[in-house]
Amino acid sequence: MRERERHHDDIRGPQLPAPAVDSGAVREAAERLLAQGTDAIDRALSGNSTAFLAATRQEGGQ
Amino acid sequence: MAERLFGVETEYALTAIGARGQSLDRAPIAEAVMHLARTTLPCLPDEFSGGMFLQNGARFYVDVGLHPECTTPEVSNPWDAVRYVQAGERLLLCLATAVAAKRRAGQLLLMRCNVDYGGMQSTWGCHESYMHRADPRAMPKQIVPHLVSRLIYTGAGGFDNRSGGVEFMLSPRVAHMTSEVSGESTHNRGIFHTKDEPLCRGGYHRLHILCGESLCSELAAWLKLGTTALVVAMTEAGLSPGEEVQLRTPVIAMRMFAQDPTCTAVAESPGGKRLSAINIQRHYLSLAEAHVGDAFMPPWAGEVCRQWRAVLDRLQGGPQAVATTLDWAIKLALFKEHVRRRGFVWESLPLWTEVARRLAAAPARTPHREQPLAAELVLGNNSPVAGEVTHLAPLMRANGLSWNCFGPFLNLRQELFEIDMRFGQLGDTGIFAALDASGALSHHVAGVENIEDAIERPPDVPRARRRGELIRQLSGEQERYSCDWLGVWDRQLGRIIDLSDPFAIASEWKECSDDDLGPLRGLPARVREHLALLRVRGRRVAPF
Repeated sequence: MRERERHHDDIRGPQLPAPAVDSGAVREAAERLLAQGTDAIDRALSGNSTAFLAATRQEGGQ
Repeated sequence: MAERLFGVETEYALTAIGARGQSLDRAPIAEAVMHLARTTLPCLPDEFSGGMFLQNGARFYVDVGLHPECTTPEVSNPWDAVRYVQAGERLLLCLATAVAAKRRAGQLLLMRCNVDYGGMQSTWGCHESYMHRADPRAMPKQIVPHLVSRLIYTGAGGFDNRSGGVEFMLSPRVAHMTSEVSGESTHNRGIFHTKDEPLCRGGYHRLHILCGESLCSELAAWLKLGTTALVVAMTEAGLSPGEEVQLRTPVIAMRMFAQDPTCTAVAESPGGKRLSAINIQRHYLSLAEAHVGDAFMPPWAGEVCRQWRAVLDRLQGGPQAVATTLDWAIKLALFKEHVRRRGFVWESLPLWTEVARRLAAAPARTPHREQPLAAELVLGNNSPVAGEVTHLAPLMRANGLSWNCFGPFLNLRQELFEIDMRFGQLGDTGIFAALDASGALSHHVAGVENIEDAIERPPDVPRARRRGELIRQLSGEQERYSCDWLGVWDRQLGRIIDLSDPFAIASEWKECSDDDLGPLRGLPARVREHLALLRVRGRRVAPF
């Protein structure tokens, strides 16, 4: 593994104001997520979730 | 700058589903996966767990509840922690795929989910270990507020699996944390786990955290390890990082934080201060930033602080600001959309959950209590809860709910649970994996790469490196040699290569006996346990 470069960073001051959020970019990303998510979910669902959950029942671990 | 060592143990849900959708017995499947690993991977057996150590220094075995568990080797930075978790997952998936193909076992699924939705109401873990020299008695007070509040970026997202309705939680495992401090791991779990088995010499302690969850987001996993390692470092340095953010009732606070996607819920301190999860996290962060250049801090502290600050800033913008980055927020967006597609309003789910709760609790259901709630049972002519249905009518009417939607609500509940399980499914068909491949997410951490190398090679930590070398060298003689965290054992000649010092590279075989440990004098009691185990199993060791 490569040796990771070590940095000594400047000590940060008091809390900075929250950065401005590009709401347009956030909205676009959300739309993309939902569009892709809908496809992914439709492909993944078994069509009988009750049976799936019964079949995937898990005992407790640690 | 100080070297910090930590590691992750991840338990996975293993399921085998036959061609007709039936559940197959998991025990022979788990054993087949182990057998394939044992016979095809460079490895040495681990006498204690029944599993094995691999050439990358990791451990692999099947834990209680038939959960395959991958334990990373000791790592010294959060990039490697995430890399080695991913390496373990790729290896496990590879083995499972091969077993499934060989046995024609239908579907063989491995999932990162940490709670069961099939009626067992069970949970299993993703544990973290942090090596430290702090007084273990001082640790709970300093770290519990961090563990309670970090779920705003470390939460896997999901549902309270003990609820009869649909109750979203940032961290579903929180529902199973029933005390602040506990030594138990399979019941009565505590936010702080008192287990302190160092697995090394040198006066170190091992902080073992079991309230965390398996995560898909690289950034979330990276932050989980990086921030917690810094909190441990600050505690060890005597800074008392948790002193000013104590919580009056940590278990209640944790549940409150876990139920609030806005991250604005507040909990009280013993002195009456009102603290949100973000407030608490900013306190720890500020302290870390103030000491980032100190000798006790690891060299990567600055980068963790930068990312830590960035994620807290984003969280102040609400869940939509992290909806492509953090596990719980991605899931929340998907769940809400799915609810909408099924004709429900997300905000109506608490009401439906209340309806389900009251029906489930209705005394007339007592003979039927073991049966899952079903619309046909509740609304049928011979309903055992007809009285409660009548009693609920005003609530339903006042909130615009219709009994016609009760059956669809129960179906929706099951679908949401399946979506949660499928989200963390290993392999390309998992929902998270599919989203990642489509480019819809932004969770990667620069530097978490070269996973193939992590599958084969140990991290740059002396004893992990030495363990890996020895395993590669000796794996052809599994009858003779075994391995555990403390060393590699030659059962035939009763010798050990001592790996109990994490920072030393041991190279010589040493004789070991109980009466005179010679160079091994002072090793933890586990050495004696191992010798006793070998004697019981009839392996030749030097006489006691």
